[in-house]
Amino acid sequence: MKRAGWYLLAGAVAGFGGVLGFHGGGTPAPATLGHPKPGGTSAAPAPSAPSAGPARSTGPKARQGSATGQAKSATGSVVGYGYGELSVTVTVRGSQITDVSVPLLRTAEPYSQQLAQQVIPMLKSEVLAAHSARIHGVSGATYTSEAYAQSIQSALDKLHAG
Amino acid sequence: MTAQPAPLTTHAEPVMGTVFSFTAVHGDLPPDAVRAAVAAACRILHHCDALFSTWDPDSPASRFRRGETALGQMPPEFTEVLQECRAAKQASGGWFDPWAIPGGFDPTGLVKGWATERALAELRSAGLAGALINGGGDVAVFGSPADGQRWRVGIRHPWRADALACVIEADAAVATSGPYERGAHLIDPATGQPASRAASATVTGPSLALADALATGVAVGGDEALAVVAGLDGYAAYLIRPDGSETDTGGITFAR
Amino acid sequence: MSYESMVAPGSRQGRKRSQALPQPARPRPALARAGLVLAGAGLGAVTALAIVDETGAELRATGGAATFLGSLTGLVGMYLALLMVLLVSRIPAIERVLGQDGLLRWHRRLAPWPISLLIAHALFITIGYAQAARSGLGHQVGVLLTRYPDVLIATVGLGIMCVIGILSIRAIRRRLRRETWWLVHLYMYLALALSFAHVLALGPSFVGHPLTQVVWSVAWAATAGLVLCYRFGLPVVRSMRHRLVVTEVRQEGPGVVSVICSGRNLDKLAIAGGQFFFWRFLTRSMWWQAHPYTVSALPQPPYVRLTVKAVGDHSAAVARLRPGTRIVVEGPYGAFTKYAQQRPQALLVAAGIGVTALRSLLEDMPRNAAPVVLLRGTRPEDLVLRKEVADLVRYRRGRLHELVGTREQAMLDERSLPRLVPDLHRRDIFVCGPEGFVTTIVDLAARLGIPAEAVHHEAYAL
Repeated sequence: MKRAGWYLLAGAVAGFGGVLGFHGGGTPAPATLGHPKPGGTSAAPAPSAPSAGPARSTGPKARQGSATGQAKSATGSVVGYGYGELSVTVTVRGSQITDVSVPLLRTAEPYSQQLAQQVIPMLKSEVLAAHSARIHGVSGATYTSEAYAQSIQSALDKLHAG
Repeated sequence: MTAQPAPLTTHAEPVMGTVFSFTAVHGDLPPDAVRAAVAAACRILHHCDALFSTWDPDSPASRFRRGETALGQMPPEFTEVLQECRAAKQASGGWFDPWAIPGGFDPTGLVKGWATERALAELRSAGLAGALINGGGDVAVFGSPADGQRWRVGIRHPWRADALACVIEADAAVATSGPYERGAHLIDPATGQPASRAASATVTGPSLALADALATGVAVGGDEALAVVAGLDGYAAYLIRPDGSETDTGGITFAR
Repeated sequence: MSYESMVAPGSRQGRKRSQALPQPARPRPALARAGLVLAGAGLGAVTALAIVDETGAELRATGGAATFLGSLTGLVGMYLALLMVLLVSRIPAIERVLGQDGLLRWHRRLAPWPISLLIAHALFITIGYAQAARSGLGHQVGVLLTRYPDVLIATVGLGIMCVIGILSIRAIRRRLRRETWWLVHLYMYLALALSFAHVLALGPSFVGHPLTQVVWSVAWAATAGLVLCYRFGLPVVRSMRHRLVVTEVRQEGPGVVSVICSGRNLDKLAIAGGQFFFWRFLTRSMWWQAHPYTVSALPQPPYVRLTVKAVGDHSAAVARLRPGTRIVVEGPYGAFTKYAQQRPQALLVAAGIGVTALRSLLEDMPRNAAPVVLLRGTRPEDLVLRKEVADLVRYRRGRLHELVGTREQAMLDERSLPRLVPDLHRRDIFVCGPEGFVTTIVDLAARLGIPAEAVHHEAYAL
């Protein structure tokens, strides 16, 4: 067929533009989980999360000395993570971050909610690599002998085995 | 760091269904004496294991649980542990309650720490400059690992076995409890059901036995039990909730 | 009235379209163009869909770029797969314009794209998710297959598509029996059905976007409906309405037989000269195959005729058909009809069994058409139906040239063809026959400067 390519191209442009234009207004209507906490001071940038799989916190937390002074909370802006949106609240006492929580998590459907329940704990709890922390031992819930073999403690024991 | 690293010897001893890790700072002792001290400490651990194991149906503790033996017929260590349990139950406001375990009185939550302290005492009396014993997750220390340093103990991340949630500087005992290793083995005394108010609970203080019990209590009771620990002199607690948020009673030195 | 008397050379009825026979619907190029525009619009729409929901934060996150590419390739790949299905669903409006062979050509040309895109989709998604979870690729494959809904069956579907793709590579397909390849190819419907669920469950463009879900589902349902209706339903209805049976098999020439079939309601069968059916003869050995054979004379109710040359198992078996054998037909299909003609006059060229299409095409031409007809054959007896063709040409005041002999003796090239047909540039060319012959003539016409729109061909893949 003559000029078939042109017809296809015209259609493609029209379809592309149509969807873009249609999407300008209208956002998804997902289920809301959790309630936004009453805001505190200025908004801090929220840690970004990938669009699939478990989300990870990208900012390390510093904890030095004990908490002093009044607690202040800051809530980051709402960030889309592919299947919904979330925002993060950071609580600081003095110069010490004492709490990180997720006040707003909007997941688009139940599967994502279930995923989020595994994801959020990983997001909030600080994760330190054992090898860089120069520790002498690890305290944790009682492990079995089998679990010991995989543990950080066993790696430490091998360092100075006598 | 300019301090010379002090000579250390480490040793891992499987006992009580877990592995006890020793880190001994030689100080002035020759290596032979250090090894002998560690061996003696291990013998104490095995002795406690034989006494208190609830896995072994023939152990004195198992027979006591089944009601086959009266308290008067039990060895003196058992009575000591029993008293410690009572004290711990009271101190923890009832959140640690070995009598509420299905199947009968089960002091396991306290015995490990108690045995570790006795092993540590053996090392101290042998003349070591410092030592750290990790009894399957409960840590007791004395002395220092090197000049001017404090013992640094990492707290295992509740959801990532290869990572830490934080690092604290320990002076005496650090005990951690949580459901992540062995599943729902922590029973809420109020309901009789598995507890779920904490993902990980750490308690520090002078006595590992009590800290062990308190950690179990905080793992069961969550924030409520935290308040109890805060009221105890010399003891501090650090809690990671199931939703990942954290809090502590103050008094714990976090390091980076 | 016997068939013989109806179509015999010289008889009125055999010379032109019977009064009772309805005219088939005209092909409307506008419809085909609209279809093209729609197809393009769909392509643009799915591309936009993949892009529009993506945020900068998602792209920058670990694994974000790979996951985005995975979404894009998945959407476009699935859309193209739907188009592939539509191309072979034999929707009459499109088939009339492009012809069955044209549709198949587009189908084959398009084929590598959806398969490649969908394989890329699987790879990108796995890589993206693995990066986000900071786990190994192997582990992530396991996670995707076991813990995400419907991914396992979608992967099975992708596997089926890959197998079909591999078997369709010419070098491999040649080694397969046609029936084996055809049967495996049918599994594509299953592969698509298996892949449907995971898109709605997991695609970021669909999760939480009910309108998109509805549109996508409607598109799939409509495609399925069209396939069921035109690929399976319409042929069944037609066969039941006409109930064709074999009435007589007669020899036309060496290796060539005509099968005369009779049926009911043939006065309602709208077929244009030059079109063909897929014929499914219900005998024990042939019932599960449907082969295309051109109708060699417009139906004279209650008779319709096909003429077949024995070149393979099936066509050889046609010669042995017994009267009374029931027939299921799919069709009529084909764009090789008078409607393709643009100029007022035509040159018809046929070789071998290609004369069947030419002969029925002639029947559809008006009395003043004055066509020039070239029949090509190696020996005189290879020119089957020559008496009928001669009669039809004479009735239309045309000229018939019979070119008998070897290729060297009766060559058609840049000098001989214009000599035979001086007003070549004023005529549309219809050429029909074996693939090699058709290609030669089409190339020849191109070399002689005849525009491609004026050349219409139907090649028989033998």
